[in-house]
Amino acid sequence: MKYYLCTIILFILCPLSYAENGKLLATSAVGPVEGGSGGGLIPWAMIGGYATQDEIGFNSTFSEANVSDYTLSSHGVSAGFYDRVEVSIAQLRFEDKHATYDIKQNVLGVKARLYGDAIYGTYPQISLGIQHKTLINEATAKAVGARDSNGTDVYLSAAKIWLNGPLQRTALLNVNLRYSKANQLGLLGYGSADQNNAALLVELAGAIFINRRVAIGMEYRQKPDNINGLPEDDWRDTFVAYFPNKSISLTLAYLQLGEIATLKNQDGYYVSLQATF
Amino acid sequence: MKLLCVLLLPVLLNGCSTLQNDQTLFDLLGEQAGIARLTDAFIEEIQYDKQVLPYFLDTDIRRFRSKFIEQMCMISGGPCEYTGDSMEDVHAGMKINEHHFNALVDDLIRAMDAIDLPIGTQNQLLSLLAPMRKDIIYR
Repeated sequence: MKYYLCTIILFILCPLSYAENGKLLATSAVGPVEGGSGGGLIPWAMIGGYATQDEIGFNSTFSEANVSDYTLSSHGVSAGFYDRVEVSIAQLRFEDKHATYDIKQNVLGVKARLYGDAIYGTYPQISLGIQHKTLINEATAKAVGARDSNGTDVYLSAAKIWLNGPLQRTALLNVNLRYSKANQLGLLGYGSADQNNAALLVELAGAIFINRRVAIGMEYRQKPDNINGLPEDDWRDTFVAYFPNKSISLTLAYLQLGEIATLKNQDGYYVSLQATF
Repeated sequence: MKLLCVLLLPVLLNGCSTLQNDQTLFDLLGEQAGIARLTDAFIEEIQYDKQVLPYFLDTDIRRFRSKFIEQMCMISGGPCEYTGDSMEDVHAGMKINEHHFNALVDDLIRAMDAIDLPIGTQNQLLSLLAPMRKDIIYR
């Protein structure tokens, strides 16, 4: 309920502001599964949308991941304020194709750019973000042995874009350090009876723009291992993102999510559509 | 580990790519004639850009054209000397914000597309121009 209220408030705010598109094409990044801006599986240091330091911008993202035994769909909205702060809300729905799980989670994210400019700066752009996650139905998390049904991740993100990168193409590198005790993004709760310490996790993304509108890249997300008997694998994806204009972007990815809740080799695809206002 | 290598590859390749090419950017732009063509295409894009055009209302376009050609020739490694004012002086008091600066970059990209400059050549030129941004915006 709270989530929908927030969504409605954001959409009411939209027309009141000068939602703008002053940044360069594709610098908006795309919409990751946990909301906000980034790649498919991880957030990036960029503030989403095309709003410059004098403007406010909005994004809306729908995405769907489909692997061997599960689907994970996500929809979210985010607002970028003055290329400085991004506030995002997203709802994730994780379903088991064998109808064992149907889990919903809300993610409230805030990201602040602390330093730099990914394109024009000599050094990377650095942002600090938090993601507060709440399970709507916590029965599964409790059943598998999670300690908590909600929790907060903190991440430090650094991104650099080279206009004239390798092969004279524009290239991006993003590195995150995340402090989290989430089990499978928190979809299976936080921590466990045996392991209740947060882990420091590494996330990486690299992308190269074939031309101004099409980028290809890879992402890596390290995952913790909190619950005995339910090991997690690190996640990987290989993506193509298409930016036909500053209003919309489409991302397709091949996912390699490893073992999830005892089912191994969860490979599949990811589709994400983002609209920018 | 393999993934780390793949992710770092662009950075390593970046070092190599600048070595392998002995053609200067000036050559790739088509020397003086190519730079003049690019400049004319750029001026045409600016003429149709409602956001950017107001900043050029007091500009002597003939002078802008000749100084812009000189500057592009010089920074691309051509046999020219830029004789215009510094970027800071030219843009002093114009109060160009980030939005309008990026609109001008978009105009330049459209101009480069219009004369069919390959994307690699475009990126080389853009990366040479990028450091000037700090002398142009919010002045």
